[in-house]
Amino acid sequence: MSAPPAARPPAAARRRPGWLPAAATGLGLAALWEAVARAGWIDPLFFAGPVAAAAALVRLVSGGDLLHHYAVTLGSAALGLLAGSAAGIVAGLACGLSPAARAVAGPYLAALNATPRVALIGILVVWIGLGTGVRVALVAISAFFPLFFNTAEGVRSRDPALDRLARAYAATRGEWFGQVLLPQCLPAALTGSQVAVGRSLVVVVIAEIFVGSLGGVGYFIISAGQQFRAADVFAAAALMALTGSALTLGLSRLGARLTPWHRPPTL
Amino acid sequence: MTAGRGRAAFVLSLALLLGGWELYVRASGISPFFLVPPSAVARRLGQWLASGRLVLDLGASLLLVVLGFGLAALLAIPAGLALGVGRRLEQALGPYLLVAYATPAPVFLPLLLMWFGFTYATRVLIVALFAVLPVLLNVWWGVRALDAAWLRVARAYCATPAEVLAHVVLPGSVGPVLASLRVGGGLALIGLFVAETYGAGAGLGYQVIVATKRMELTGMLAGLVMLGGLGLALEQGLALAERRLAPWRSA
Repeated sequence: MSAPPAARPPAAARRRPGWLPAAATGLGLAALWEAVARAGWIDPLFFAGPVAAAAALVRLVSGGDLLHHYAVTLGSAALGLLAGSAAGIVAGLACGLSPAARAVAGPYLAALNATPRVALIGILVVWIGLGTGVRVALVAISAFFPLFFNTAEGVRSRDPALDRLARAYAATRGEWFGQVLLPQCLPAALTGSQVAVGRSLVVVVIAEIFVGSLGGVGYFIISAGQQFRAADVFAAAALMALTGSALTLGLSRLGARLTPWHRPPTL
Repeated sequence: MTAGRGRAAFVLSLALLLGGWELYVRASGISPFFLVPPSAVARRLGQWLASGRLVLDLGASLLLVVLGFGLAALLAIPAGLALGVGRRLEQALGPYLLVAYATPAPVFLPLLLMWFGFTYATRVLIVALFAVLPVLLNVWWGVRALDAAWLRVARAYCATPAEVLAHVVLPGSVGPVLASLRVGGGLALIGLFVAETYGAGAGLGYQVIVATKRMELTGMLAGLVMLGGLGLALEQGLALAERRLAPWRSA
């Protein structure tokens, strides 16, 4: 049982007190962080304050050095994400609709899903080589699963009454697919795509750390760490934090726009 | 299709897959650099088992997962509960945790390596690093999604905050906590593989890494089979715990 929607305070009233404590803690944390960096307890080789990190970020971005690595990272993440998501949606629809497909493919996918994907890196290097392909493939495998599981679950938990309704109104298979089935799995697929984006960034950075031959933020950050350029490490981490946050926020906005009838249970 | 026929179909497909793979490798004479037959992988696993290597590696990996994942759970569960219950705390820290969660965890790897070197502590922290925020956020959201009516009932009966915590929030959080551990478990295994890259001398991930450095496919596949088995066991174990301890949730 849940409260009727009218009982909730309007959005503005809920949000207004929200940002003030957040801003206060943010300033406090940043000041503490800067104070720790300036106190001289920690060698600047190992630690950088927010001011030094911001200065490093500006220097690295304006110098174009980090931007090159950033473009490499985003490129392989985007390619892998597209390929993996498309495959995940198709496989999810198939396994959601067909019990036979579910019975046969399910155990393989569960086993592959339980295996840490980054461990596949060696096999992918043997089969694909040391180029971009390894990174794209690893991202694709990681992006596949959230889309697959969510789409399949969306298909299976659809309302059977709507299927009967479509049949009663003599809908063609195409109409049923586009107007009955897809709208019902879209919210779950969008949730899956948010998870997939997060996983993709994680995996692409790991892949770049392990196979650094083409650069990328992962390569940049691990070599900065090896050379004890702490400010550069913090700057690159901040860039990835901004990227991940922007993508997550953008996707949840897009989800709200595309599926206005669906209210996500969280946030 | 019944469950029995489904299982039969799966077993048949597995037999066809393994048999076809074995036959293809033998008939085509493909270089073992590119593809090795499943029998070679099985033989390698048998050798590891006979030499005691397998038990050693499994034990090392299990210990690392237990320590790292345990540390993550120890930090994340109380923090997630506090954020789920405390409105003020949520407003003050929530946005930063969301940003930290959206940041790919491996970017913090160089900091751990710089600060703690190639030590065991670093490896434990790497496993914890990958799991801590997903567990925290899932506990936080799970607790917040608890039925608000329960809390209103408790408050209407003048329950103290401690009573609300003991009788409403903690029992209600069992489900979300276990679900969040399932999410975190998979990430902890990614952390395990990454951690065993840095100075480990034993472990399932370590075996895969050694085989990768030698470009030796048999060792990679044998290690992967074991890692996958460990992952499945972890996932099934946590799913079982969820069904036992929170049977009202459909796991």
